[in-house]
Amino acid sequence: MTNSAPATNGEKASPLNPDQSMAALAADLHSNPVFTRANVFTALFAGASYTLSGVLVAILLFLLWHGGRGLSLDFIFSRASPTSDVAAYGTAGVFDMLYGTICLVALMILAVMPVGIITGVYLCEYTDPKSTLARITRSAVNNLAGVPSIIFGMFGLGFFIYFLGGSIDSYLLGSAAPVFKKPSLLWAALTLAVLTLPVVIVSTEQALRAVPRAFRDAALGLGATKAQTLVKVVLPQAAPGIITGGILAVSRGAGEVAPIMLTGATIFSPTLPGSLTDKFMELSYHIYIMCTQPAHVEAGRAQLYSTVVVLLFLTFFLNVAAIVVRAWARRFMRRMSANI
Amino acid sequence: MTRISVPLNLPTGLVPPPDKGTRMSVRLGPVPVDEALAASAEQERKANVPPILDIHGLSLFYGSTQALHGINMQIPRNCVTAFIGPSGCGKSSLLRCLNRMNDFVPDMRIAGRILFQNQDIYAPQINPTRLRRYIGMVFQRSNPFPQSIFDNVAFGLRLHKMGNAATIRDQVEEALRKVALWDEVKDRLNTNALNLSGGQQQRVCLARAIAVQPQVLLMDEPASALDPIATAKIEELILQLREHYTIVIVTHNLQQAGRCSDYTAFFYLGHLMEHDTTENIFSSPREEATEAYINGRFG
Amino acid sequence: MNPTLTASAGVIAPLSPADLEKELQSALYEQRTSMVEFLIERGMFCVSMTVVATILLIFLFVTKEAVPVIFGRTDTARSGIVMNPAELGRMSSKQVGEFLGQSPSVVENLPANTLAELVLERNKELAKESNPDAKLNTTTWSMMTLPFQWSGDSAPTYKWQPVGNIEKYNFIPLLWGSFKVTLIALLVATPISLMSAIYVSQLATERMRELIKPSIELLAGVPSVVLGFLALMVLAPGLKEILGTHSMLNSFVAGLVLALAVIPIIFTIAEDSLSAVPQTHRDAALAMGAGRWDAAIRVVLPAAAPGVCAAVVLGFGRAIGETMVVVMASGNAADLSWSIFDSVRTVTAAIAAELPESATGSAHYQVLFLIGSVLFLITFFTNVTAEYILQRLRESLEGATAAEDHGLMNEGAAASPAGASGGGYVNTVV
Repeated sequence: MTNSAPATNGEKASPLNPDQSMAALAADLHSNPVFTRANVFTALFAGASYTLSGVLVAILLFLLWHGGRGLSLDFIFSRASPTSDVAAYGTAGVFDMLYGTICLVALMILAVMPVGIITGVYLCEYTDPKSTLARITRSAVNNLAGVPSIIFGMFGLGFFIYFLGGSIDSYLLGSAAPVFKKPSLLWAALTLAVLTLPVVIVSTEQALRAVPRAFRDAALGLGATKAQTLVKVVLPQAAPGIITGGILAVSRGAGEVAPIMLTGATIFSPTLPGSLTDKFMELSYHIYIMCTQPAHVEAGRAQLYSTVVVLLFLTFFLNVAAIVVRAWARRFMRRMSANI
Repeated sequence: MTRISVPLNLPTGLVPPPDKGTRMSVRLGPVPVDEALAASAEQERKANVPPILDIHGLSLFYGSTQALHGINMQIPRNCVTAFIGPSGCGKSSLLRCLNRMNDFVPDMRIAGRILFQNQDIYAPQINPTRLRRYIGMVFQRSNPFPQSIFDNVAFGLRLHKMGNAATIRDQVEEALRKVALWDEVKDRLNTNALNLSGGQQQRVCLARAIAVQPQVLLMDEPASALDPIATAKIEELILQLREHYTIVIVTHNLQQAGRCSDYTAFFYLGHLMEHDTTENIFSSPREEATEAYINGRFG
Repeated sequence: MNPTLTASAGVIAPLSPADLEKELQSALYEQRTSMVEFLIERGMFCVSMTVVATILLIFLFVTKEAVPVIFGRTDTARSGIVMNPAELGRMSSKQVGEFLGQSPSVVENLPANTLAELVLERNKELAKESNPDAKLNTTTWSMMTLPFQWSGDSAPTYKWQPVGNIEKYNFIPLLWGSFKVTLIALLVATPISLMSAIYVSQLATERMRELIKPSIELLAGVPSVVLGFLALMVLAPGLKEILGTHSMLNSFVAGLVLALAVIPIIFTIAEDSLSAVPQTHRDAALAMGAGRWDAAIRVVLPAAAPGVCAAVVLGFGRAIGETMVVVMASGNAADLSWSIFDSVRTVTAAIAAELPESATGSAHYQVLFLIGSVLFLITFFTNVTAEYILQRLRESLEGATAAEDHGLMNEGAAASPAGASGGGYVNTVV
């Protein structure tokens, strides 16, 4: 390379005599043009990235600024009022919605974690990743992750409410009035569980894959069975990653509206949900209702912003927490596999 | 995993190893005088004992590639057998066949049979996890669990319900003493095993393996990731553990094979080229390939 | 020799060969643990299969509700149906309910004479019906997909008007709306997220990467209802001020906010594919005097091109299925128009807004489930395509064999004299 002139500026490279060559080399090595195409594009691309990060920060600050002022313990623990009751806008709170959301998400987690973890474990530990079975299952998981949320709502309506609920009512209870064959907390939670299933499965799988193979070998070499190896060695180490999956599922589930508006959420209910078959109020659904069917836009604005901030704490900030846990777990794993 | 049955090949007899005192030895540390005296009597006894592991016509396939070609060999009881050979020659694969750790490789097929104390370990009714309690394994990279030293060594004991809390304590101590680690760690048994040095970690793994009192110890290059001092300690341990266990060791380090094994098997391209006493292999190999390898002409 | 060793050496007496053989004969054939293992594995297999079953069930149960309309068994034509009050006793409450436009439970609770009166009223109403369109079955496939000249109109049109005197179920405007909004979203999201992905994975410093990557990924953590809320409350009024558009809520606003929902998907997958290109490719280019930019564009990007395509395809799937943003920000007018500043109604918005209000089992309900199945099929094939592309990419980038995965290559790593002290060890540390 030393005896060719710099070709970076589109000049033709030609052989030079040694003296010229030294000078050219020195010039080339010291040239550091600022406005090359590469630099301009790099700056452009960097700009795009900063813009995106900026958008997120702007959204957060905007919402916190407008909604933070109305936030108080009073707001959180006060009972909700019907959206049509404009007079109560100043005093109504979000307790009913918060309660409904927490019940919903808790039920959802109870349903999704066992199935998700078992599937993740089975996929990672018991199947050859190249086998047809593993491919089909993994493909199903990916597809499930891509199904639009409104389709989950329709599925919940068609399968859980009409099929399962209908069957329970007519075959088990034999009652004419619908008990299970109507939108309720139970069906909404199960619908959300199906929706968040891929999140848990993928997180579990990733967490298990991060556990070094050497640990499995060690346990198996001592005569532990596969299940013993899993329970005593692999799962304890994968736990932070799996918990992350759970948090992500909560964050996803709490923010969804489309599935629950068909399967159990209600605009207003004077009482808190007392049983699995009750309808319930929910934060994100409430935001949707306040946005699209407001009794009075301006009067409800402050309350709306505050409700959004409460929802953000349940979704966005849980997401942040999950990512922090995951990063910590990953660093811990790396340190561990470096040590052995 | 599928299994192909092949007729039993008759085992070829092995020449008993020579007296230990005359063994080509670059052993570290002084050799006690009385050991040399006891050795010849013991040697005679060993020659009459049937082999603990008996491999007949063993072939191993990973998918379409054949990793081992009709291996026939016997591994004598309470001796150290070293597997040597260039990389990819199948010595680690054979080692992993001996306690069925190869079961976890998808597309693995095996032909031939391995008898462990007259039990065919690839027979359909065999429970491989029970087998591994009798044939323990130490891996190339030390792999203590991210638990305390005590829990690591007690892992197998608890797993197989070998004793109550009190006896487990004694067994752990004994295992740690056997690997000469007790004095180093007795005050910090509850600290994480990952905080130990590389050599100490490997000795914890060794202690963990012998705590369940296996009959055979398989060692897959146990010292290749260690520094020379730690390596020397492991080799010393191998020589001591030989009294109670049958040891099979895979190594790349020819000096190591020479220092601490009684028998050496040389593998090349999935074939067993030569299996004899270590002294014979190193001083008068019968095969040309063995000689070339020993003299460092390839590999 | 270590004295402690010799002292304890005798504690474990080795078994004699005969004893060992005896012990092995029972121990090695112990089957209980194998049985337990087998049952555990079967159980886990069954649970895993529910995931596969779920995908099938979703398709099955969404399509099931639409079966009558798919096979042309639903009929909305009204002229022929006139009910004789004398025959009420022989009819199910469901049939009567449909005729009266009431739910069966309401019908059951009415006294017989009131019911007869209602039926007479309804008969009169139907007789008065002068609109010739009332005689049409609007749920045939041709009515749902082809333009039709309704009485009073001057030309054939595509119309989605499920509520009204004559229910019109042509869902082409909905598909058009979905594709229009999706296209706008992708046009905004694709360039900016690909630029960011290239920057973050190839050009940025370690510190910048640590900062920017999570913040873009976290955009996915903002619930879509919050994005819809922002579009409705902040962006739409703002844009109307600036652009002076005719309708405040339009496909442009919806597309813009939808882009925010899609960006994390495109970014994450594109970034993953770019990062999965082995470092050696890039190093080779850098070593030849290419700048980071040239290495990224000429070497890494082509190698990761399939992944980038898959990212856009998945972004499409996500955008077309997104519900809350479009239902809140698109204006919900089911019009066919080319202008990006007109209101649109998407498939998802139609389902979300109309399904809660449609009567179970009605024609409207069935058609909504039909367009739901269409949407499901679109996203399904989108996902399958993307997955296929990604799978191919993964195979071309790795090519590891099963034996390598299981650590049998340790031998190879430690084989060379230089690597004898643990090649694998170094790899994990770095």
